[in-house]
Amino acid sequence: MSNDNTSHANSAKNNILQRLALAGLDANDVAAVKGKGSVDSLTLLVDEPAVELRQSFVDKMQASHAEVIACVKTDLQKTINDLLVRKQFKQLLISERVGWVKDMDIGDTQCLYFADNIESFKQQLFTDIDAAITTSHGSIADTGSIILRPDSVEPRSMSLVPPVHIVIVEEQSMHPNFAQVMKQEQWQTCMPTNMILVSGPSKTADIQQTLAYGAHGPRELIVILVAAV
Amino acid sequence: MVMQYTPQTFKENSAEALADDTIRNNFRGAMDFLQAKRATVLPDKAAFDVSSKRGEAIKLRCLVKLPELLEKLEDQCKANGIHVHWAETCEQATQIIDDIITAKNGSKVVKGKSMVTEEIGLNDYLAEQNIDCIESDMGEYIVQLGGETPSHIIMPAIHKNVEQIAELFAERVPGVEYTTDVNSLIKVGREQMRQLFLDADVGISGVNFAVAETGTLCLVENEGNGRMTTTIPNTHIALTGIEKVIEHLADVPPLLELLTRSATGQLITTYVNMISGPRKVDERDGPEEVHLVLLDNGRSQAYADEELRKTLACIRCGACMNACPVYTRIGGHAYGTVYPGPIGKIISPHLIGLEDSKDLPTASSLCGACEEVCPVNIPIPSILQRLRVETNKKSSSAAKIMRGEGSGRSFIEALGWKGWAFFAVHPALYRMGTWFATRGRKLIPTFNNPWTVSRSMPKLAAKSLREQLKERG
Repeated sequence: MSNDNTSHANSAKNNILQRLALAGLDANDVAAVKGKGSVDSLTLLVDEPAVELRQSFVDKMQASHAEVIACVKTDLQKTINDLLVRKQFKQLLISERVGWVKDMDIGDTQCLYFADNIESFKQQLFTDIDAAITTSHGSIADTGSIILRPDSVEPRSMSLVPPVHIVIVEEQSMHPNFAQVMKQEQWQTCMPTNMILVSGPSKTADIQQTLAYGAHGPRELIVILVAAV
Repeated sequence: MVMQYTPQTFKENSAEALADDTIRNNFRGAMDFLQAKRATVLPDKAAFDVSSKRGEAIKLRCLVKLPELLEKLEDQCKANGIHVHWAETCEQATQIIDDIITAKNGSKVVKGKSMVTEEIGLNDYLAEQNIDCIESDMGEYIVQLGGETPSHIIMPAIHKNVEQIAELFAERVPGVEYTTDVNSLIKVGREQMRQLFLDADVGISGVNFAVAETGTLCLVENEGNGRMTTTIPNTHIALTGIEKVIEHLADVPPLLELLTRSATGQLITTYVNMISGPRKVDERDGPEEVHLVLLDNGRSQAYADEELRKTLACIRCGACMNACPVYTRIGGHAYGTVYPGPIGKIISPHLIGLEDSKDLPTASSLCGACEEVCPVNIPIPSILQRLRVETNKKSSSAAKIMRGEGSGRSFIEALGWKGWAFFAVHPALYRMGTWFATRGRKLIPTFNNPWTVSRSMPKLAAKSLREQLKERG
């Protein structure tokens, strides 16, 4: 940007801040509202037994039209295998974290990694890929949400562009609510480029309040809920 | 035929809407639906009071600290690699956006749902620059296809029923036959939009919460178009009003909960998207450039006054519209402003000036339904009364509180009230006046004014109340 633009931009900022200063709020006013409504003063933090959290998660997810398949850790590969045999996808995008899917006997399904930048296979991603499998960072019981923390292995569009998103959720990473997970993991110190809560398949009620699934994102969300034992 | 309404013709717009059965049916159905859905997730009044008080406390804290938080947000965003721009006016904002698009040689722009982009008239502006700017939210897409504007801030196409949308698609989307099957219609929208996401150079979105502490932009949605808009194109531009900044990331969960429950009756929306920067070197998707445009456009005027400042606590859930007996009957377009309904009536005077919006604060019976459902307890009825005072006050050369203040003042009306005030503090004169008025009541002509058009004019009693009570002893 040229210097002219920069000084112009600075003047817009200064003018706005000057007008806000007309309110005459001072350090005392700021001190008076310190911490008001903040999370430490909330009653949001709860300590419920894991079994109830799990039930809440499953109920809310199903209410949001997601399919929930529960399994124990030792059965995870078999569970995914059965699902893929049932679904018969043509092209399946997989995360390197579940690289073992490549070795499965799942018929004609072709497995691919998100190995390069999106620009190199945008068209294929939008038109040919049927489904994607990713892991998750955690989950939230009271709203039935999964927490995704996309990275180079599981880029953002994996959970967005293909019509079906299969996501593996570890039961032990379940938190009672959003405020609690944020606090426990100190999110304010470690926000990645992008973080997403997903609570069901994409939907809309924009036509006369009639709910329809698969608006722009996945039509189907399949949650594989994995218990440690 | 599509009409563009203006707030100056509010009374005519309202009369027209009231006479339109389809409009009234569409809004009645939609508002009942939204209110019922809200009730399912906020069944307990006492619990709602607790959480709305918390929401109010958070927003008021963030407003008191607004200047500091805006600078913190800018610093934090810059540290994260997000470019930050400040715009005092709509013109500055459109220019900034145009410059960014031009610098990227962009010609195709896709937009996620954003009322602030409506506020700055972005689509029309970009069209004049030969840049295609297409709405990707299903409701906004329908509205854009029809050449209209949103009639509700959350459900933009709520004024249309499925038959009207079916007709619109059959007429305007090549190769689409008339169908009232909602799944098929949504599929049409999805397919149209997928190509657009693939081709777009730039994605433009709004912001629900901008977190100063971490430089994070939060976007809340169900469809996934917001994620598409902010993920697939190479450049993402987010536009927000300056009041959307909040202090801590930990302020997000309590506000988010209030927003989704109040707006659409959902515990949470399908997607809560938290963006804290452009694509990093080792990442494989996401925009390579992210810009944040902070818009004032009259908000700082509201900020300067303690009472009016509460207008800026709004988290744009739209619950006040759903509960409003006026909005339900006249619909969103009659207001002629970007933001309709109760919140529109108190924010628009700051955005476009009181002169052009002076009828809006009068369109309320002050029933208080809006304040009751507001998740951050904005005292909308009191603010409406305050705006009526500002509209009718005597202009003076002293520092102005609002642009256009005093523009609704009528000499005759002011004289009438002055006269009444004089009588009211002079008991002897007042008694004499009421004696003459009651005795001469048959002589008072029937006034032909908007009140008497549909109601009979009230008649004075034969004797004043004071006299009647005296006679009773």
